[in-house]
Amino acid sequence: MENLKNYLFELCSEYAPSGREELLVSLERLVRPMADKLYRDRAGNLIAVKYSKIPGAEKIMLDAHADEVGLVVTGIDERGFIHFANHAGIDDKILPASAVTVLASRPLHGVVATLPPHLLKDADSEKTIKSKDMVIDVGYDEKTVKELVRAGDFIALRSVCTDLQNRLVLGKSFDNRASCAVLVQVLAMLCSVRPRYDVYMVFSAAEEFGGYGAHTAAFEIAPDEALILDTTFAVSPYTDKSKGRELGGGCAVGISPILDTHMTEAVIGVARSHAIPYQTEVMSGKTGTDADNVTCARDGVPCALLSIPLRYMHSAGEIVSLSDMENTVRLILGYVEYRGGNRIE
Amino acid sequence: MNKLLSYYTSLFGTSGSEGDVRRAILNEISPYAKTKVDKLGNIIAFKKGRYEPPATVMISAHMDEVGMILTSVTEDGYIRFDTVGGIDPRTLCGKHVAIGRRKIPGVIGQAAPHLMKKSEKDSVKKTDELYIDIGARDKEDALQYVQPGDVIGFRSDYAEFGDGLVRAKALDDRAGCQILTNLIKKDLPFDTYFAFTVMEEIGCIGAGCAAFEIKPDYSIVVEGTTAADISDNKDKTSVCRVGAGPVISFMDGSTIYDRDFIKLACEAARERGIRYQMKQAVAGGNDSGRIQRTASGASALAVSVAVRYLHTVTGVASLADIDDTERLVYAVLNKMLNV
Repeated sequence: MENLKNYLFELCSEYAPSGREELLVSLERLVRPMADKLYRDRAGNLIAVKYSKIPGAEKIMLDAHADEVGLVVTGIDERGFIHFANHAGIDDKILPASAVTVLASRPLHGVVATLPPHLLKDADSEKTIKSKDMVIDVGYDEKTVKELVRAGDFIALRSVCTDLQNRLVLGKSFDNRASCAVLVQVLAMLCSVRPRYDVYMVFSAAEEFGGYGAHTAAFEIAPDEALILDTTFAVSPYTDKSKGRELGGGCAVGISPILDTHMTEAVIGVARSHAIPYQTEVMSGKTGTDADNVTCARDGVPCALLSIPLRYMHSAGEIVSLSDMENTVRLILGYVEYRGGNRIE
Repeated sequence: MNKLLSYYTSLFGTSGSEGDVRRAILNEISPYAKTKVDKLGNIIAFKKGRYEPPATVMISAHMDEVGMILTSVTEDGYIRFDTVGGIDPRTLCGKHVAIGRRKIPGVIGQAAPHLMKKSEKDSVKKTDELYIDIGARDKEDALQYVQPGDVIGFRSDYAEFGDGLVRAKALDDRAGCQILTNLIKKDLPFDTYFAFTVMEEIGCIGAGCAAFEIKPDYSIVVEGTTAADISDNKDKTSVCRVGAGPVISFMDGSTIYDRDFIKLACEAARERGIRYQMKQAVAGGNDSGRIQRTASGASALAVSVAVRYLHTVTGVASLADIDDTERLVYAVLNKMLNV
């Protein structure tokens, strides 16, 4: 699985806030040679199909959302600075002095503007800065900015992927490119095994904006069951063990009233029989992932949820564990190979 | 691309740990000037000119940048730190850093917004509520990589963007270091001293010692200074503007500059057709404050590059301003020979 990290870093070098998933061209490039069929649907989902060689095989949908959090341009002022709104899921506190990319008619470097400390009064630094009071500097005058940028253009956080200690990695949009990279790796490995399912990989759109992509994809594909991949909160200085999963402890198998009990038990069974590390994440209803939407597609789709633990979610400095990602790949492959077979035979 | 600026800003040089920057500068300038490193770590360079000097002139820029220092490691292996130099803690969340001599990468973490209470969303995180994560398993593991006292620098990629602008960390004052380096490589009108100083950001520590050694009659400090020309700042002064040329200071928090020297600099700029601007606020301070009152004193001039978002990981300056600042200092030297 030596390519897994490369997949992740490549997928995170591009920007695709919810609604602009087509900008993730590296994903198409990686997946195209491996899939039996590849298409993008009306919602913006990228769907890769790998057929089973077994006639009458059931359909499994493997879903990972491809979009990321971002900002959206609301206006341009008389000095050429961009005013913006939160587009999905970013806390204002990470924004001051952040490097961003404005997805205008061509991608533009930008900086979220701040006043220098020399000019701040002591009282100023006690206050949080709200995104409505921030602006983005793209370094052009008003006329040029208005030629290049329009209200409605999206803005993404920018950062460079880096290795940390203990096989942890640091970067932006690991929520949910970590899962996308896992699916690319699964697809690469499916080429050398005989899946017992027809596998429909959905790199879904707009999860960070309510998850309509996964919902419409589930309607079109009409899968017999679905495995949803996302990220979840890892233990950090800000998230204690009661709320977070251990980074490096394996992927978190979701347990929740909305998720299918039999599938979840089967996933845990595969993990145990293959000695794949895992942990559980218990939720009391909705999961805050695509599983909530896929479950109620058509006459219902049984879902299980696998989440990769992640620190500092929705910032340009997210952390995941490569070993958690590898174990997620093993778990999915195990499920697709064995569980499907057991049910059909 | 301005390769030297890209190189200089890529180096880590939190105040007191300027070694990497010093080595890089010495490599660049040694073929062109007689150099030495003093006890504090300042580089003092002497460059022969065409003529005898009219007076002793010292041109300086500081090598250090604002950053952080590791104060302790928690049982869980997270790093506590304090800021070195003037940093607004509100600009820290989510930023990438490098720690110690080995440049161990890390990130200043922050809670996921999903899990924040309303009160948490509205409150400012102070430096002592922030942690750096290097991916250590626990304290013991972390201490293999880092230790208390390690300095911490921001990591960022250098980018030229917009209308001839550059975005980088540490433009204050690697822009000055780059300008001095270019000047040293030039044919100068008279013998000139250059000083690349240490520890400006924690109180202009190095410059005084360099000035004591050189004992200049005239001091020219080449700096990065605060530009507040951003749009939500209509009510306050913009201090200076990016893209409007080198900034000449008449007064700041630590220095009242020499009026005749300022006049000479403005005349030199006009004669050479170099755009310049006067700093429109009495704010901040730089090495001039120290140099002006060292030994028997020096006439002080500060020529600066306007930098937006100073003291953050994403400073912004104009490449033309940087070139023009170099041209202006060169013009000042030439004009000094004629007076």
